Amino acid sequence: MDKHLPKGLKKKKRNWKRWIPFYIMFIPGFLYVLVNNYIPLYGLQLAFKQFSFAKGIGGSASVGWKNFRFLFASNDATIMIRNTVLYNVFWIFLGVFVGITSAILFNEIRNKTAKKFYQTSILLPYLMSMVVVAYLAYAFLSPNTGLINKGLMEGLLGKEGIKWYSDSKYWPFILTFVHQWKGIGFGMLLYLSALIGIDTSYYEAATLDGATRWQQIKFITLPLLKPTVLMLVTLSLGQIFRSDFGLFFQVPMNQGAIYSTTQTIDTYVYRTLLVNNNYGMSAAASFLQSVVGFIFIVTANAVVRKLDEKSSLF
Amino acid sequence: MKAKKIMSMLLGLTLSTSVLAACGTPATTAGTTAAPAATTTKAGETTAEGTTAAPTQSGITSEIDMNEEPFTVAIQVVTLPGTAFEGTEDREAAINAIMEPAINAKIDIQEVWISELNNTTTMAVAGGEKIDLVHVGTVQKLSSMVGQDLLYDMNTENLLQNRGQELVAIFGEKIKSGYVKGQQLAVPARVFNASAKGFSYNKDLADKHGIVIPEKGDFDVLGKALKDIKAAEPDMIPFYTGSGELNFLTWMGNFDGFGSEASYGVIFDAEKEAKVENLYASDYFKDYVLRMWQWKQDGLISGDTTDTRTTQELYAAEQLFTTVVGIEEMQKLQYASMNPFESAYVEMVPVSVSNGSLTEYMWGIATNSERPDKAMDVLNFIYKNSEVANILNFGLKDVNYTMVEGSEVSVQQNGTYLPIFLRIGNTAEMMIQAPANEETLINMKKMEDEAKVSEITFYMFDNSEFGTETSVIASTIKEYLPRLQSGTEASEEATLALLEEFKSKLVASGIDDVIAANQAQLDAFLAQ
Repeated sequence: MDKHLPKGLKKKKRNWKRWIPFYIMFIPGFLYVLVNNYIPLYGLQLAFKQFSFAKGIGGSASVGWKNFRFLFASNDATIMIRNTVLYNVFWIFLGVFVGITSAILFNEIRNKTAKKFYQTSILLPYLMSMVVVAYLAYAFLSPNTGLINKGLMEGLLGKEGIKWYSDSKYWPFILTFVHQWKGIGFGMLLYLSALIGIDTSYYEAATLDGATRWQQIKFITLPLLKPTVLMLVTLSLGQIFRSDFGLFFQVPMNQGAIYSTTQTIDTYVYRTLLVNNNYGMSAAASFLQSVVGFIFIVTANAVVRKLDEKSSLF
Repeated sequence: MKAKKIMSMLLGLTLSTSVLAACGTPATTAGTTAAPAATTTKAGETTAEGTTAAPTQSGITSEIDMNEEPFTVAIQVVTLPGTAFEGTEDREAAINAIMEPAINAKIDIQEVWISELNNTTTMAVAGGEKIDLVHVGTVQKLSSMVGQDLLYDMNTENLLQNRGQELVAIFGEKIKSGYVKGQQLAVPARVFNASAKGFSYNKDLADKHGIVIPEKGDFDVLGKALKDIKAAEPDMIPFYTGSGELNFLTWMGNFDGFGSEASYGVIFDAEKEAKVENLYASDYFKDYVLRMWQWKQDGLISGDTTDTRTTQELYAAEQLFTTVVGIEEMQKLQYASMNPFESAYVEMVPVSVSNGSLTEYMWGIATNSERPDKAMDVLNFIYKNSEVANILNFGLKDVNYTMVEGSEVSVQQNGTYLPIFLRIGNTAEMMIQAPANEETLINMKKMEDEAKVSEITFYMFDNSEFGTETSVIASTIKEYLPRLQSGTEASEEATLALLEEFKSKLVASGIDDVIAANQAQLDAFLAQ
C-alpha cells in the first residue's frame, strides 16, 4: 500500500508513530482539564436557575437574571467590587516588582548553603494554610493579648494599643503585607526559573565590554524577562474579579467593622449565602467573576499582541 | 532511548487511568427517588408490631412488606464539633437486632458535627449520597430549606398518615409546625417543647460568695448578678457574647422571631396583636444595645468580637459565670451531666410552646431518599419503640451508661457517647439522664400541658420569593450585630450612630418588603 503513496506522504506516515509517546503523555493533562474545566461548564446553567434538589440541574426552573440581583442589591456592591479589583491590580504589579527583585537578589548568592536556607525560608510561608497565617496575624494584632499592642505599644512605648480589628484604615497595608509575605516565595521561584534560563554568554560578553552589574540587570536580565512577566501578568488579569478567600476572610477574622477595606466579592458571596444555601446565586457570582476575568484576559492579550506579538499568549 | 519511551508511555497510561478512576462513582440523579408503593387502604389490619392499624387514608399502604430485602435507612446524629464516638457499629447492631424483625429495616448512623450540618446535608442531597432522615432546625432552619426541595413531602400518598401513625398520635396538632407551602416537610423531634427563656449560672460559685439570684427576673436582675460576681471573682467572665454573631435576644427576648437572628421580623405580643415588626428598628433592641455597651464599660462582657471560644467550653471550664439558655428539663439534664458544678436558672420569659421551640429540632426525609416509606417506618418505629430510642440517645448499657441504683429510668452516662444535639424518641416512654428521674418526666408533661401556645405557633414563613433580600439581610446583620451586641463602640453616641447606620442598611437590603410579605402570609394563615 505504501509504495503507491507520494514520497513526502510516505515519510509523514512513518513519522507520526514517533509522536505516540508524547500523545500518551499528553492524555493525563488533557483528561484533567477536560474533567475539571470543561465538563463542569454544564453546571453554568445553574446561574440562571432556581436549583431544586428534587429536579436536578436540568429540571430546575429558569429564573433569568434574578440570581445576579443579590450581588448588586446591597449598598456594598461598589465597595466589594472596588476592593476586589484594586487589591488585585496593585498586587499584580507589586508582585512583579517584588518577585523579580527577590529573584535577582537570590541569583546573586554564591554560597550554596545560604542559598538553600534562604530558598526554604522564603518559600515556607507559601506552603502554610491561611488559617495558620490568620492565627499568626492574630497573635500580633489581638487587641488584648497581641504582641504589637502588649509588647510594643503598651510595653515599650507606653501608649494605648490599637484596635486593629475595629479600624479599617490599617487593613490595606496589613493585607498587602501578609499577601506578599506568603506569596513572595512562589513568585520568586517563577522568575528565578526564567532567570536561570538566560544564556550566561550575554553576561560574559557584557562583563568583557565593561558593563556594571546594574547595567547587566537593566539591559540583559529585565528585557529577557519581559516575555515571562507579560505572560504572568496577562494570566493574573484573568483572576482580577476573584480574591483569595482565606486571606480576606480568615486574616481579618470576619470582623464587620473593617468590611469597608476587607470585603471582596468572594467573602460577600460566602456571607450572604451561608444562611440561604442558594446554589443558583452562588453559581451566578462565580459566572460573573469568570466572564469579567475572561474579558480582562482577552483585552490584555490583545494589547500585548499589539506591543509585542511574540509575548502574547494567543 | 527505547526504554525511556516505554517508561514514559507507561507513566502516561497510569496517570490517565488514575484520573479516570478518581472521577468517582456515578451519582444517582436527584429527583429519581423510588415512589412508595401505592395500594388500596387496609384499614383495621394488624401491623407487624401486633397492634391494629388506625384507619388509613388512600395512598401508600400502612402495611410493611416483610418479604423484601431489609432496607438500610441512614439517619443524621448531630454532635459537637471535634467529637468522634466509638462503638457506632455496636449501637447500630443492637438497634438492628430489634428493628429488622419488626419493620424489615436497618439503621446506618451518620454522625455529623453541627458546624458542618448545613454543608453535609446539601452536598449529600446534591451529590446523591445515601441520606434518609435529616436533622432539621438548630442551624439548618426549615424555612431556609423550603425553596430548594431538600426535603420530601411527607403528605405524598399520605405517607405520614399511613406509615407515621405513631408520630401523628404523639404530636397531634404540633405536626403542623412542619407544614409549609402546602407540603409536610418535617415533623417535630421533641415530644416536650415547652421552654422558658433566660439564663443559667454557676450555683456553686454563687453560693460560695453569697450571691442570691431570684428564679425569675429580667435584664436588671441579670445585670446585678453579673456585677456581684465581677466584684467577688475578678478573673471570672461574667457574661460572654463571643463573636457576637448570634443574637442573644433569641434566648432572652420576649418575642416570637422569624428566620435566623429575626431576619424576617418578630411579633412582640402575639396574644395582643399579630403584627410583624423589625426587631432592629425597635426601642427594645435599642435599649438592649445600650445596655450591652454599658456592660462593656463595667467590664461585665469582654467585647472582643475576635474571641472564637464557645460559651459551652468556657462555662464547663468554670471560666464563665452565666450563659443564655432555653430553660427546659432536657437542657437542665444536659448541663448537669456536662458540667462539674451545679447550675441554677433564671426565667426571663415564661414557659411557652413557641414556633421557635417546635422548629428548633425536627426530622425530615431527604428528597433523594431511595425509600421515603422505609425512612418513615424507621422514624415512626423509633418513636414507638423506646428500647431503640434509648440506644440512640444513651448508647449501650454498661458501655456508655449505667442505671442509677433503685431507678428504672434514670441513667448515669459516662461521657463515651453524648449526642448532644440529638432529639428523638418518645421522651415520656424513654430513660432519662440522671439526676432526673420518674418525677422529672411527670414535671415535663405538666410543663407541656400548662405551657402557653400562641395562635402563631404553627405558622411558617415561606421565603422562597425573597432569596435576594434574605441573603443580603443576613449579611447585613452579620456585619453590624457583633459590634452592637459586644458594646465595642467608643461611646453611647457612637453606638446609637452605628445602630442608625444598621437600620438604614437593613431597609436598603429590603427588610421592609420581607416583613410585609411575612405579615401578609401570617394574616392569610390566621384567617384560615
